[in-house]
Amino acid sequence: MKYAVAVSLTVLIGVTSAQAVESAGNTAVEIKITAEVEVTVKNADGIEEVKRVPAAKVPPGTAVIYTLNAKNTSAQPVADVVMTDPIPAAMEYVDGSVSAQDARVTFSVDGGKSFAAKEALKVRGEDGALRAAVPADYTHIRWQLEKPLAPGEARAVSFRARVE
Amino acid sequence: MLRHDLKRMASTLAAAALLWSAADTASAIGADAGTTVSNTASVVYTVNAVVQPAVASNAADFVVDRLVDLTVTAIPVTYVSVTPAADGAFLFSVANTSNATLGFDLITANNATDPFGGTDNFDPTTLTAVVDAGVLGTYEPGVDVATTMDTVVEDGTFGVWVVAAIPGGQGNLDIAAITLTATAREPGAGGAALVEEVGAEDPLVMETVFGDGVGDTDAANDASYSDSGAYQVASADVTITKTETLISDPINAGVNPRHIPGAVVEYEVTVTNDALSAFPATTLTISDVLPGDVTFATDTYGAGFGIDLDGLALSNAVDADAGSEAGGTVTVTVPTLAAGASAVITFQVTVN
Repeated sequence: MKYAVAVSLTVLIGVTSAQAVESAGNTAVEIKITAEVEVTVKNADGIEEVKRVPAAKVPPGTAVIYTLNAKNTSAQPVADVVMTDPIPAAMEYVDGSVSAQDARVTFSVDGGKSFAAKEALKVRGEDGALRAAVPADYTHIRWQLEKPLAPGEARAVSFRARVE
Repeated sequence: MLRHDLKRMASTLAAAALLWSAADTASAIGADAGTTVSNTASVVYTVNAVVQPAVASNAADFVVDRLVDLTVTAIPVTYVSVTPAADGAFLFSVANTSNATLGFDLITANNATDPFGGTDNFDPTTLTAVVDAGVLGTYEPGVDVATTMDTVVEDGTFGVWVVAAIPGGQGNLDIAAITLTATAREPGAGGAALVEEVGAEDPLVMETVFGDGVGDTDAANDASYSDSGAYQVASADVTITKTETLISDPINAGVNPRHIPGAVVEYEVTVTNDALSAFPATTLTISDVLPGDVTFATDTYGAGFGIDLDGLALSNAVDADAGSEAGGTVTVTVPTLAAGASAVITFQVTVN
């Protein structure tokens, strides 16, 4: 278990530092990510309601909502916006939880090397034979926005992943 | 290799490393407590159809909290058979199904409810819970002595014997039900009690959350779990009865004899091992001290043979055979009496 975490973190750090170097110049799009969990709280009227709070109390089994927000901070429209997010090593994508409004969503099962629609994803099972991928196999999620972002425009996408 | 295969392989290796694997069915949840889960997204785009460098987001980090969970499982599916005046040992397995290494305290208590459907009707003299060590799955007094388990890794299981001192003379088939409760605590010798965090949460601090289920005698989410077992006494249930038949008197001979001096009386002593006894009774010694008003008849079954055991004449002398008479005490030994079997001893006396 620790081994798997270590491997994935290495990949993650590698990607992050590479991106940091590339994005050192002026960027027209800024991307932010938040991790939240849903909690049930009683409101002033004593009625229970579900609230989203930053992910702090996160025991195994908790579903975390990741929200990616891309914003065009430049004076020009930007197109072909593709947001990519790795599913952290200790987490498992919650099937059907991805928001796909105005975006083409694809998944990767090979550490982000290739992406495909979930129906097309195959992985090699323990017996060596190809089988259909399940959410536990997903390593990355990618959103290809169908429309350009106008100056100042932002677009949020989200998904849920459960702590194993 | 897929990351999930890696995970599976790692957890299989961890499980294989466990020494105590009996009833290793419980499985801890995946993410280790204290693991930082970091997530950085990226975006690429074009401006005027020119591909721009990828941009990375902030890292959304949180630390996986410690979810305390454990199970206690009685291993035998029926009574552990015990002998009066001896110790009985009932085996449980305790599993750390948390996502962290924990220590465990063990408490055992009498339980009025027999988990196997019978009726609890006695309490052992003492109850002790000790960790199974040495030869696993075998209770070894003097070896299995630790009363706590200081360090149990996630997915780790260990055995616990609840040792009961059964009172001497406890009746055959009597039942004593007991419960073992394991309580998770901080690992290490003398580890502190676990405290479930309340109040403000910090994403970057590992908090403690109780997630255990309801055991036999404990509540959910209390860092404890309990299960029950029971002992059943297996012994020989021996009873002895004595009847007297007046055979003759010197005046009336055998016709309506009276208990007058010189009358001959036959005593019949029956020793029975109950049909439900779990064991044959062994090395029985039956003694009958005759009252002073009667005199043992020495030659009832032949010269010098005054005792009959199941149709076999025994000599009065203290010798190789099973019977003897000395100073007005008749003694018969029976090597073994199977469940449901009886031994019948007859001898005669004359009224003084």
